[in-house]
Amino acid sequence: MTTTGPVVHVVDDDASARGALTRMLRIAGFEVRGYASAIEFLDGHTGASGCLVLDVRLPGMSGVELQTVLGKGDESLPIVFLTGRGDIETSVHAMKSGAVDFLTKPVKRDVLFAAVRAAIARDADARAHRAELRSLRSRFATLTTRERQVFDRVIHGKLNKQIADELGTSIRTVKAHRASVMTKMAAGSLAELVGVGNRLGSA
Amino acid sequence: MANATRTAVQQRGQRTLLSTLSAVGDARLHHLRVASFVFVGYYLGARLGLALTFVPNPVSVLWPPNSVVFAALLLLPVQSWWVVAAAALPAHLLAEMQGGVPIAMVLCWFVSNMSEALIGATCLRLLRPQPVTFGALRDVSAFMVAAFVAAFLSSFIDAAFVAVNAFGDSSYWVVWRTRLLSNVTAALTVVPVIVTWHASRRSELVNMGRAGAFEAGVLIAGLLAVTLVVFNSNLTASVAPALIYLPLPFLLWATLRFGPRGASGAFALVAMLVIWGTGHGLGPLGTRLPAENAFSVQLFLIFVGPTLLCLAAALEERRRAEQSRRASDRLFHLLLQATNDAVYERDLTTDAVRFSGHGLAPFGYAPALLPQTFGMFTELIHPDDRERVLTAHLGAVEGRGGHWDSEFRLRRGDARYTHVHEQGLVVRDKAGRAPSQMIGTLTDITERRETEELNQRLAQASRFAAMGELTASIAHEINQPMSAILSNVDAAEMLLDAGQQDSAELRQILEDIRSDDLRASEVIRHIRGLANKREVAFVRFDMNELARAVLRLVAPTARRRGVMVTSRFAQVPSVYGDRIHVQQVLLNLLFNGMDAVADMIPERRRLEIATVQAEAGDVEVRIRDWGDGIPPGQCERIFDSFYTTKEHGMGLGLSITRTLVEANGGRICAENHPDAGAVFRFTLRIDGRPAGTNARR
Repeated sequence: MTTTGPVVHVVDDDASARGALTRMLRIAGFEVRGYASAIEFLDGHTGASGCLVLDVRLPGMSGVELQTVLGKGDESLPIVFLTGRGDIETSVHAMKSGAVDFLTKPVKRDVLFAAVRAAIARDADARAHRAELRSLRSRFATLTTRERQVFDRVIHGKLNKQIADELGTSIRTVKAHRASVMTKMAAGSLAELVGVGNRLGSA
Repeated sequence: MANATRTAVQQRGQRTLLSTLSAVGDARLHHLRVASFVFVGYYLGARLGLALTFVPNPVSVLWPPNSVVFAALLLLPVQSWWVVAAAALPAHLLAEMQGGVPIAMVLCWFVSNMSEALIGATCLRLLRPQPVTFGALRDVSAFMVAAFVAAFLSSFIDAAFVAVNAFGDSSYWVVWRTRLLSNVTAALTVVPVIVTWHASRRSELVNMGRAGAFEAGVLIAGLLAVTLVVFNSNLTASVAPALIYLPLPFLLWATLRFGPRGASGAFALVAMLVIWGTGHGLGPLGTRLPAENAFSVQLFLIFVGPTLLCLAAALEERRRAEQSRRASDRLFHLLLQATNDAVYERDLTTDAVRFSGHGLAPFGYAPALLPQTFGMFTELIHPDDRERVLTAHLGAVEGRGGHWDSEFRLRRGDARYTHVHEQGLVVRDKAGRAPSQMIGTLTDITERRETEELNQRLAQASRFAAMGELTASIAHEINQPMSAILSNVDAAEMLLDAGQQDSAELRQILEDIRSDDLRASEVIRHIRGLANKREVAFVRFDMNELARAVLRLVAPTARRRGVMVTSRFAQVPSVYGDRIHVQQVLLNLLFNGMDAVADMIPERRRLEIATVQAEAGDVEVRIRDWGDGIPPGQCERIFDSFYTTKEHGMGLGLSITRTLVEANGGRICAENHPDAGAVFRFTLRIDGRPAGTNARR
């Protein structure tokens, strides 16, 4: 469980289908793990990067239910759905809930690989995004109360004089706080600082 | 409840007793009334008869007492006739003794008077057993015959009495002739008045209304005036004999407007006035000798009276016929309205078509747009149906039965087609048996048709849905190994493409492919097995023993659900079949039964399983429940796939059960128990006949 590369998690209750899928993905060069049910996956997976290849029909918790459960957590994995019989209702629901693809069995090798790669890429992006956000948050945590007040007003486009008036302090003090904020948030320009503010605000 | 019934019976008993008592009282009162009527009538009749005697001619022109008795006898049952005779005797003595006639002669006359009434009443009773009302021509003619026969025969007796008593100086035949005419005239005048007016009720006179009373008043006044002027004055005596017809319009008026009662009443009035006037030498008939005058008055009355009575009776008959025709017409129209059917008559000689009642209104046609000929009517029939309908009509005309019955599409007033059911009858003329008319009824059955079609579509849809379900499940079962095979093939190909010669991995892949392939073919084999039912393992086994084993299996569930399961096993031979199948059948039926009694009161949460020897030598297993039973008419359907009355049922249990029973060469049926609940019965063979030979339903 020390692997750092992306892992493809295959959840299918049919042993032979699961075996064939994992084998094919493994030969194609993916790190693969198989699970017979949604519960088994929830118990066993480590939060490593990668994606989920999920059968819609599963005993106990169905694929769509697993998607809902995962969507509530922070570390959701992109999902490629596989189904024996594609019905429009389920596929629309799955896609709306953020599935990468909805494929019908038997699935063509290239189609599956493309979907899995797209899912892994999406996961990588998400992880990078989350990592950046985490670093911004930790930087933000280093700001003093006064610096946060200045930061908030700066990204909302207030001038130093206005900030000084509002906070009841001098322009010089505001300028000092502002420089300190730029340094702590690792922003090279005002534009960059506003971008950082937006990312933090939307997260 | 019981008390109420008893009280009602008691009340009824009391009422019967009371009504019997009052009937006895009524009978006495009735007799008294009859007696007083006869007494008064007879006495007044006698006085009137004497008053109407043409002096010096000793014989009365009209002698009413006999007719009063005649009428009374007609109106009374035979066992009450003695009352009439008893009442008439004192009246007779009272009236006759005043004239100084010897007592022997008086009594003789009583006998002859009574004999006339008796002969007349008996004769009329024989001719017309039902009560005479003068409302039918047969009544009038029978009465005329009876009256004449009575007067004819009794006059012999009368004349003989006169001769024996040596009373008067007329010869036998003169007496006979005078009496005959006098009595006939009296009977024709008096009896109809009494009989017709006797039947009238107070309410009828009240219901006549103001206009009716006014009309009657005018009529009586006119009749009196004309009759008095013509027959009771000197004005007309020598003017013109033809004036005797002057009262006729009033008599006809009375007849036309007031029926037998009016005719007889008006005629009696005129008769009295004519006799009185003529007796006094007045009017056109009073110009000769008294005997001659009497003769002409009698002839005049004898001809006019019956004519009026016949006319009144004929009119009455026609009125009644009209009334009953109108009543049946009304009923027919109400019936048409109630059914919303259209009825038409087709005249086969002219081919004209006539619609009854509301015509084709139920089909959206205004009266003006009704087809006038049969040809026009056939234009309304859908072109595709026309030939068929005409063939049905032709078959009815040419065939023996004369009925036809067909369904076709009829163009409505709004140009849409509607399904109609036509039923008809060919009417033939009495003589030649040649068809003269066809009568058809058209019933709109579109709604019924639509319901039928909807039901058919639903049945089809549920069959399709069942097939879809099955297909989808088969597809899934086959799809899984197929997709695994594809992935494995892809994996092997990738291995080979990569130049890796990992033969162990390749071998494993091939192994997996083989097992998936076998799995897919197993699915197919299973489906085939399902389809032709040859995969059963037939053995001989003890049905009772199997049933006991199943009951042990079911017992915990039954206890939990509070259902008592009892058994009645008969000594039955061992049966031949697939144990697993039969076990499944028993389980299905027992669970079905437990569902059926689930909502019952505890006493009815009960099942009973029984084995019996069936008549064909097979063993029959019965599973009875105490539930609500099978909905009426559904005993056959409950075995159909997807038929269910349960909220969460799939409707497959009983369908599978039947399939299994039939696969084992048995039959299954269900029926409601006469007491409560349903009984499911299935048979199993005791011989080893292959199950495939059973007829599939």
